[in-house]
Amino acid sequence: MRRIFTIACTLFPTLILLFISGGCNPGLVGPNPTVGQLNVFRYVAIGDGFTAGVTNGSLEPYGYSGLYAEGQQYAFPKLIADQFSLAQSIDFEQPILTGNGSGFLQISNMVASDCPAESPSPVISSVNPETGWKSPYTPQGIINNIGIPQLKAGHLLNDTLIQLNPFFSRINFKQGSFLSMIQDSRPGFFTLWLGTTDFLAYAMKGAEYPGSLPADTEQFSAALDQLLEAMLLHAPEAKGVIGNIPDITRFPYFRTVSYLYINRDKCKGTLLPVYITTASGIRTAAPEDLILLPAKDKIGTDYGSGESFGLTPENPIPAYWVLDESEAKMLRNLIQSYNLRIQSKITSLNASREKPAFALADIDYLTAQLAHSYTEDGLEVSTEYLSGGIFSLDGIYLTPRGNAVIANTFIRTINSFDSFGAIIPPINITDYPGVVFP
Amino acid sequence: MRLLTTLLFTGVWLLTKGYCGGFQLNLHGQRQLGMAHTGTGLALDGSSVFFNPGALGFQPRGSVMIGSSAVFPVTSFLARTPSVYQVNMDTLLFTPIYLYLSWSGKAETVKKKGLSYGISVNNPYLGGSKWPDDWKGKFISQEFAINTFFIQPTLSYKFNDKVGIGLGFSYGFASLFNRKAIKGDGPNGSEGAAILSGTGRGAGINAGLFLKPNEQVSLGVSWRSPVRIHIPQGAAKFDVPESLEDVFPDMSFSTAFTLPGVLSIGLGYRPDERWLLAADLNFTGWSRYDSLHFTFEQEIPPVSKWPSRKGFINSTTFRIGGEYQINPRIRFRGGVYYDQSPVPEGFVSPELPDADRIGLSIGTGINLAERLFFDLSWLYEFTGERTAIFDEAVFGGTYKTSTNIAGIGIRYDF
Repeated sequence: MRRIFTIACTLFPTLILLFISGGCNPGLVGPNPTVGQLNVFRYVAIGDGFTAGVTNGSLEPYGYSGLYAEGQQYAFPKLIADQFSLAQSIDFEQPILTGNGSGFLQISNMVASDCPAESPSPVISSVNPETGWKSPYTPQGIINNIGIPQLKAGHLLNDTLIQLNPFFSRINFKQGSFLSMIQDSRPGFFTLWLGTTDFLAYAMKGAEYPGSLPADTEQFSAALDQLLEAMLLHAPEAKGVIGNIPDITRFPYFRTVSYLYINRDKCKGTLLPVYITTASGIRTAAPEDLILLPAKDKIGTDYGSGESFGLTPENPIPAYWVLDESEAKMLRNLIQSYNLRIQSKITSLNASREKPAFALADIDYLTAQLAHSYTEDGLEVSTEYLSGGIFSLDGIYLTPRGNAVIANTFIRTINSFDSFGAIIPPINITDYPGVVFP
Repeated sequence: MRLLTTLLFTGVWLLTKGYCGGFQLNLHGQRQLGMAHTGTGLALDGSSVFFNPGALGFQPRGSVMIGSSAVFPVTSFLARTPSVYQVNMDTLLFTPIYLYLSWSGKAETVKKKGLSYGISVNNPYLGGSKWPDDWKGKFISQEFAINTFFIQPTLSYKFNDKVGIGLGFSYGFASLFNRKAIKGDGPNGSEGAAILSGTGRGAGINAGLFLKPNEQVSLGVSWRSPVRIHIPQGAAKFDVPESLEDVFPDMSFSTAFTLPGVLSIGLGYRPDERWLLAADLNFTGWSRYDSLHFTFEQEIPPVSKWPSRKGFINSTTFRIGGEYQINPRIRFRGGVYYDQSPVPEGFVSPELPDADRIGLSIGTGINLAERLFFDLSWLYEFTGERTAIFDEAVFGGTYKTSTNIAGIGIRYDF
């Protein structure tokens, strides 16, 4: 009897200890990441400011600000390279700027509204560029991120224009042409996303300056041919993903200012029409007319030629801050025809290979999703200015979280492209911050 | 020896931190727990107050019982393929308790017929989750906890040696805690958080019918009604960067939800003096827990979009267990159960990543003195791998849980 008692009482804790130590951690096994047929040891990213990692840049179309170390470390190609490293450890060298780099925007504080139940508005200030940020950068090995802010596809037809770009000249350590740098890059794998800046430069000035009009589709096509030819010249086996051009008129730079102004006089919030300048004269804005972000805090103030800026036909919003309906439509049509050209270029390149080697990352489709409803990792993100989490303070370039979403679009393209045979884990977008508030 | 064992047991208990994966917590008697928590069709002891008020009059004596269990589940999450992101739920110590008091009129009356009385105090619904603060799904849930505490005064009437009925009025307190990340990044990588907490009350009944056609067979049916819990004045706090504090003022919220009713049918069989076999079926009306919607004092877009649809469906639990009396002082118990998950496809959320569960139990009862009983139980509960998507937040992955539950109880008859 006593023996049984003893056995019973010692058996219990022993069993419990056993199960706690042995049976407590139900391990789950995920897939083994693999780069498959891709030679990611030499991953080269080619593009404009989006590839370089520009963030919180200028509200002006030709501003050189927005490239600095903190943003560069979140450049989407760097994030892709980090995911490649889960399958195969690689180096990815970026021409990192020191200190404040070329300068950037930040929210210095939020100003509460005089009216209750009204959101406070941000005060955005700029941080000055680091002295000597344009000084030359010499890479240890190769520069993997050849993202040149302000680079247009159209520039490829005239190298002189690229030589004038300080972001290019600082990394042009061989003093050659842009295309010779591309030739020397000899990628095993590449991402190419170029052409968005062609439209931004024009649209961010209200489509007013014919000098910055995007090249026509034939010229764009010729430029793309030159680039691809140069890139593949010494790397005939290179595989890659090419991003298409998003409908930039969905970016918050063009969507934040409403065509109606909420008059907050005595906090009543009556809606007033906004007067805009268009090619066909001064008129009130319609929902399809896009008023640009720089006009945001100026409507209703003494800005411009008198009182009540934008609220009277005598002091309308100038044409360079307005992308009216027909201008926006023209841009969208041209973007579409560029994208068709990108698609057909990929198709013909793939036809020249034994196995398809070029995939399309549909950034335009992603942008359309972001403008409606897009949820990843349980987090809803959108094209909304400040609160959407994707676009930085300039309303054009991306936050770290926006870069993570773009990187995932490229990664999903890679994973679903059969002939790559790659399994690359996507990024947790919740690990990356959106707009940072003080 | 006894002391040593108890100390060892308690040590294991305290060292191991755990948390409950489920939301209905069936840990209401150590003797029943040893037999896979069967007991609706048995008149074992004073715990009949809760298990089946109709069986209360079939106890030879009044008693006081107290007990508790330590629940320590581990849940793993693997993000949707081809992600290799894997994380384990954080652990917390959690210990539901029970206290049962039962007594009757004159012992003579009780043997034949008459009234008996009882009171039960326990935590019938309880559950939650706690993920690492910086985990992938932090914008859905970082921490969730629901706890209930019920007091149930009970009356039971025994018609004769074969039939008894009982009715209890249960009054419950519930607490709710909910925390998740919200958009609003501050300097140094700090992140916004919304923290909701509130308490509420509700009432219901617990009715039972107990039949004992002969010395071998007993039968029972019990019904615990659904309980609607109202949280009229919860506190919503937002941890955001300083510049956004005006956008996210502290405020109150209200909510209401229904704890499901449970219909149980139980059977007991005594083939001889040493053996006792039992089987139970529990039908839980989880479809009443269809939403958990928070109404905030002010509308704030990031908060008003809090996922609220629960979509639970009714579920059934099958239990079978037995007890063997080795000698007049020692009994051993064992059992197995299968617990259907009330969470259908599309609603499996990290808040309560539920799945069908299988539970294995063992237990022992020791008669320490003439009227003093000591019970131990141990329960191992596990789910298979469940791969599911939480539609409302477009969040999916594979979950797997295993839970160890160690219980201890004491009973004194008077």
